[in-house]
Amino acid sequence: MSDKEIIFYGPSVEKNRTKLQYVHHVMCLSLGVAAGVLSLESFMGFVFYAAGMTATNLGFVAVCCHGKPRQFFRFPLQEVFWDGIQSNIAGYIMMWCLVYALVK
Amino acid sequence: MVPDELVLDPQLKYWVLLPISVVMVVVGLLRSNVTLLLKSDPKLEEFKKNREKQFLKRATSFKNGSSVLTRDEFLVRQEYFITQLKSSEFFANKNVSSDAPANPLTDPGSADALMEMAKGNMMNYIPQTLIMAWVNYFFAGFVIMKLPFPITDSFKSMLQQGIVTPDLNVRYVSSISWYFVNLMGLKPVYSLIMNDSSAADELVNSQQQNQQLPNLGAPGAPKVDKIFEKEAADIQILSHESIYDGIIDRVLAADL
Repeated sequence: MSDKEIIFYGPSVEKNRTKLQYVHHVMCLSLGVAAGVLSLESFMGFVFYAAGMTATNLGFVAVCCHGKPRQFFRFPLQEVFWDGIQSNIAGYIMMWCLVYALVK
Repeated sequence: MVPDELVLDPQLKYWVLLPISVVMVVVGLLRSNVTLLLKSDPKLEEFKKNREKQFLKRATSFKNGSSVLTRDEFLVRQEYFITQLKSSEFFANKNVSSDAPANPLTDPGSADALMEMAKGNMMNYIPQTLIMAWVNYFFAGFVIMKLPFPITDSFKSMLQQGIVTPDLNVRYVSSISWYFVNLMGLKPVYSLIMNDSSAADELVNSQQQNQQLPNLGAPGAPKVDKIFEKEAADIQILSHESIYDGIIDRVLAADL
């Protein structure tokens, strides 16, 4: 144990993740509604989703993590940026299809 | 491929799209509540069995967390655990016989577990099948929506079920595909409504449930005395490194 090792407290990490997931869920649904209202089609819709989620994550890192995600998550890059995007895309597609169909 | 737009009746949205979504959400919530109701209370465990398990847990925690102890404390505990693990003091039933394991079908404990599993699976598949049948029966035979993104022609047979227009663009889909989109995309909705994302996970990923860890009493599990012996051997060869070794140097050297 020569070099420093960050020790995480499980329940806190879990709580942080819950909060992040809540933000992701709200954002993927609202982005879906937005994309439907804007009547985005095919490629533009997915670009919109990726951009929107990334912007959300950056905002989350800046506001909730005070710019230091490493202190709040074990694998900040993967947990904050990748997991949310790929696990919530189905919800986004659902809202997108629904609102697109309603608006058209 | 047909380049022109189809004109869809706006009433379709209110009488097909929204009802399907609402029904799926409500049935999902209902399902999670019914599953909760059907779950039988956990049975009380025999205290000796519990003690055996707890002692094993204690030994494991000692093995994993031994670095917080000083040298003397470590040695005392090491000796204690080795003697206790080697004796039969903490066994649930003292005379462990090495006969064949009990038949899992006659054992009441495993029958209960099987029943639980069957209930869980039934609660997963029956509502799904019912909704799918309902969608197929009520809303069959017409196009309800246009997807906002193009998909390949290979999905045609699935997504345009019951529509006899062979050249129709695949982006126009029938109600069953809205059902599938809902099936996959409702997880965030559930977790927002129930305020609990793990319950929503359970609701959506129905396949991955019921993976209870086999513990000491389970049929087919290794015998208690073997586990205890192995644990004793592990503790015997445990090399001890205390976090207090050279702590003064480290604290003084740390740039806080």
